[in-house]
Amino acid sequence: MIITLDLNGKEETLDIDPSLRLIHLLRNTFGLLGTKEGCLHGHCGYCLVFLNDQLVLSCLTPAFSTHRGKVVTIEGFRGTPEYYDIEKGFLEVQYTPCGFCASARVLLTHAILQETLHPTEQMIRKRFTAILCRCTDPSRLVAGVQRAAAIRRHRQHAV
Amino acid sequence: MRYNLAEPSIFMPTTLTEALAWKERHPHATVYAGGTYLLWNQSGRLLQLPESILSLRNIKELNRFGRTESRLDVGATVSIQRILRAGPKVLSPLLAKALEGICPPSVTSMATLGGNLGVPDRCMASFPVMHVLDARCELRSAKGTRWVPVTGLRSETGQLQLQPVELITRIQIPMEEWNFFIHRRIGSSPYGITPDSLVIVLVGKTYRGMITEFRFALGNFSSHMYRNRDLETLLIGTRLSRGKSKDLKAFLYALQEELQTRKFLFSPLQIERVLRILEVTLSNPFQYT
Amino acid sequence: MEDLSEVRKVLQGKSTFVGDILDPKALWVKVKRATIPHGRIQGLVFPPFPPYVRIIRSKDIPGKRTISFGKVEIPLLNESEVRYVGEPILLLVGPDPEELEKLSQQIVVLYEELPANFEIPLAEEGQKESLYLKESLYLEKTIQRGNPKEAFEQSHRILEREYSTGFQEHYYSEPHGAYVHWDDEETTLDIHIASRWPFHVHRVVKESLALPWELVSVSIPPDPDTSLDGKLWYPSFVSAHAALAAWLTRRSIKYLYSRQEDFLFTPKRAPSTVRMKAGLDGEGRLQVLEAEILFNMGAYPVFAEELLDRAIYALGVLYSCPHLHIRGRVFTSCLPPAGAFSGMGGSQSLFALEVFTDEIRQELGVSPTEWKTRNLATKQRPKPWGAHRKQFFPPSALLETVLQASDFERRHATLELLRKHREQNPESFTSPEFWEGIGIALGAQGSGFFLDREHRSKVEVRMTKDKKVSIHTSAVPGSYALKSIWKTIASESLGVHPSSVFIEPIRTRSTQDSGPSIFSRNITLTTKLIEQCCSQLKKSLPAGLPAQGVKSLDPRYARSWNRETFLGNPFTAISWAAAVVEVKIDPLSLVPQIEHVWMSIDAGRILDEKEARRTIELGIAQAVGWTLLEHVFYVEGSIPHPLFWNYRICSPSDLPTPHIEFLPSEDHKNVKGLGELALNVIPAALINALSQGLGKRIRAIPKREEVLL
Repeated sequence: MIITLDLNGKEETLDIDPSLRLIHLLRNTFGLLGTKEGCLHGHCGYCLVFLNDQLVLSCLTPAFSTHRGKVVTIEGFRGTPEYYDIEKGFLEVQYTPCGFCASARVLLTHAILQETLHPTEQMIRKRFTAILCRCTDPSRLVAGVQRAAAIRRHRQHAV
Repeated sequence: MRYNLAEPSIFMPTTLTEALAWKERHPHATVYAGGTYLLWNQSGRLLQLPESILSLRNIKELNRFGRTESRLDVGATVSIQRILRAGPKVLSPLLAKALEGICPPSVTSMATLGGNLGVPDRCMASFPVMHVLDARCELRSAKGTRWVPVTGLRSETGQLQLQPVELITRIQIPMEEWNFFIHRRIGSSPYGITPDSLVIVLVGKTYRGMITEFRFALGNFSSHMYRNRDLETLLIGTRLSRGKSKDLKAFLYALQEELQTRKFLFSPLQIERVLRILEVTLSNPFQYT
Repeated sequence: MEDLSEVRKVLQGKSTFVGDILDPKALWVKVKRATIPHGRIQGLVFPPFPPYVRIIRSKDIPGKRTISFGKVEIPLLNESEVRYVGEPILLLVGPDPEELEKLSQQIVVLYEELPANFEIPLAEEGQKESLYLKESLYLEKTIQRGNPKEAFEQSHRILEREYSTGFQEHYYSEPHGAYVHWDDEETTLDIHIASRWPFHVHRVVKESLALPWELVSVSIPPDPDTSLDGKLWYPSFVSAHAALAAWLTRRSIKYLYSRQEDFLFTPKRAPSTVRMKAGLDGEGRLQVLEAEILFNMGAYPVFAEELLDRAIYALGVLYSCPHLHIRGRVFTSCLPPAGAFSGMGGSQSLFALEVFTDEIRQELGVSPTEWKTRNLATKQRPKPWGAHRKQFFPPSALLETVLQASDFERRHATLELLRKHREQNPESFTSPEFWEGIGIALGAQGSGFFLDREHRSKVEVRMTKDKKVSIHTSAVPGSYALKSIWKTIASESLGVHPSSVFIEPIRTRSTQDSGPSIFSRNITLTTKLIEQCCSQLKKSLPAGLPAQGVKSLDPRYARSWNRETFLGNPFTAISWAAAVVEVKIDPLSLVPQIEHVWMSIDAGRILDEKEARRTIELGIAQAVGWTLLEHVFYVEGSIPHPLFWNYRICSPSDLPTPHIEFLPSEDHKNVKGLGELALNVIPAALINALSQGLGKRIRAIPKREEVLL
């Protein structure tokens, strides 16, 4: 099956098995290993990526559904000013997720900041129920996301 | 785009007309919107897909969402997340709570209300609420359109009453003001399905201390939905009071009898919780506005 | 936190784990597992296999065919008598994992089914213990102090209760797996695996393949995941399979568990039943405590003695009690091996103890504070295990601090009145909007591993001519903050910039054996050894560079401990905690929400307060999960399929930000572990709060909704 998609800003056309999961398209076909394979059941949230500007679980997304769509993974997101807001925010509060869920947490943070630059603690705690990992102390996570929001507000205001 | 393989055959139209025409020719095709139910329980590396799939993801007409004074209009492929993000100015707290309970936060951007109503078992997350709110669905085929109340979407035994060539395209939810309401999910898992999983929803209106309208429904994930309008009428016209009034006692007694006779459908935990919830709420309805 | 480059790498998605190692030429391994809980294998029927698929059986193992832990021998591949559903029977090796899975399902195993027990076989009162019980009893230990029988006869009041705790899944982020690189030229095996005990992996592989030490190497990925104690010994098992496949095929091997496979078949926290009986004097003081602690450790009870000793010790660590009789028993069953999890034995006992003492004080009609103050062990009121140094007694400030922070006494008294009112007027349960409860518990954590007496952990620090410092240890840090602490110690001690300090990647061929990363050994022992190495190196600097310092653990503390009499000191240090938890309960659904958590902690010298807080908060999340949310159970030896989808660990919305206070410790020189403290105090505090709020005593965790019917 032929699909065409915009993957991290680059147009890709390829022939795929319709039964292929998006996560395996990303990891095995394109070698984008930043998206981690956790459970393959939509349970853990480690495989979150952007599809058409919405966060989706790439393990539950068939690769064919990306046809004519836009996919952004951590590899496409890092290096953007929006990424650096988040990196800086997390580092300033010394929030360090484990390497397995970090990509998902960064992308989820970006999704939250797209919605509001004043995320409340309650909102952040609620949204991060999407990622199940024992690595994170919630209060530091909240501080990290709120710091990232402040940095982005400042940057956008400066611009 | 259409690609014919031995299996599966996947059609990804961009207009509703195309989709309906294809469905007419492939009535047994599986409809794919968010895909969460389709792909949920699969453990293999490759997805086990049905023979033919109709993907509705790229159809803009199904992705509309708006509110008028009297109702909420939700396109079948609008994601739960998008509806929730409309916020309290658009959504009632009851509806917001019900929608949050449909799926885990990780899939709210993928799951759809239309999809949830169309699947077995998991539809109990939204079905009881739609039921008591008198929501209705637009069903379309290549040959025409019809509107059905959500009550008519499933038979008593839970079978979906949709023609194979039809699609759920819109859901309309009346936006009424209720004086008191409750939505609770019973069972140890907030999103998974356990033998005790059940949704209870009740809504009521009052006027000068009297109950003028009362509706409640139970969505049992392992079997079916329960609603008994005759029982509901037992409370209409009765006076609100703190504590258990005679009318309330009679209602609870009748309900308990009903549920006990159906105990093959309800677990002891479910019966206990339902009675507790109704007793506590109706003894103090002012608390649940 | 000085070195941010590593953390940046993680945030940018550049961490690599076993599953990220790309080797298109590697073969895959699949395990054929037992499908019954207990039986003898009478035969195996194989379908026709393609020539490129290799079957590996027990007889193919060139060396030792079991992994040993004391008396426990775990077969690497079991073709004789299988003891749990999921036990590995044989391996399939080939290029396509999906194909291997299908082929595996086609292999027919002929069993002679044998009786299977899944629970602890408890005798009914008055009945003799069954033969079955005797057969499944793996370990028993009885410790006594004073004359309990006489003490009970003289007691003013006697109370008897039973408590139980359930299994808990580790839910580490990365499922088990290994990549083995086969070097054709050197004929060596380089095993890449996430393990908390790299040298154990090395030993097991070496023994199972009967290879010289130098032909095997174990590499640990540089980026920590949340491996927890579930990756203590089980990775050795996984590695042995992968290494065997590599050795026999002379090819590199990839072996990854799916999350589901991991959930179904790997070790969990061992469930327990603790029966308590207390005799009190006229003033409510504990005079005698009798306890029976029972653990179900599945088919192979790894570290049973460690678990049991910690459980027994925990019962005598807090309160003064002149007479004591504790019997601990470990049973085997036809379930996957269960055991190591943060808290290991101590958390199960402390849960029972602190809920029991709450019930005692409730019976006496006194407040928890009053009862605890009256009974806490002090030098004047010694505890059963002796020990007369201050650091072995809970500091007085521990309780005071948490009481003050939480306003516990006032809150508890108020809510107690409400609870009594509801008890006497059941119809009044319709209001208020929420029920509330507040509970308190004390606990302790012992750092150090009993096996340290047999093992000399080593660390090395080197300085090159250009003043670059490297730390060589097989201790797996588990966090960047700990790496940072070690680097800071080295840089400050040796007067170099932190950017000149490196922690060498863990590779068993070239690093020092620092033992397992468990029971806070990293922050206590390994940190101490690094300090000592740096001192030694510094002293040798006048002799010129390059220089090095090598230090190994002197297990004096472990040698002093007598496991039969429970005399001496079993730990390098004991840290202490007190916790108060406040809950709100929805009277409709009876679902609790945790409103506040307060903890006061004495953990000696705190090297990095932010990291310490993080560790505690992670522990609180695990503890809440174990108490309220995480429910694992077996039906006829298997975990029911839907449980996997429904398994729920604590999420950020389940918890408030805890209030944590670290006390200035009298033992201010020593670094003490604190990773288990939350597991040892939060469950009891939470259950005590819930019991008050619900007006019904809960004695089992996880708290199940059916209990409240």
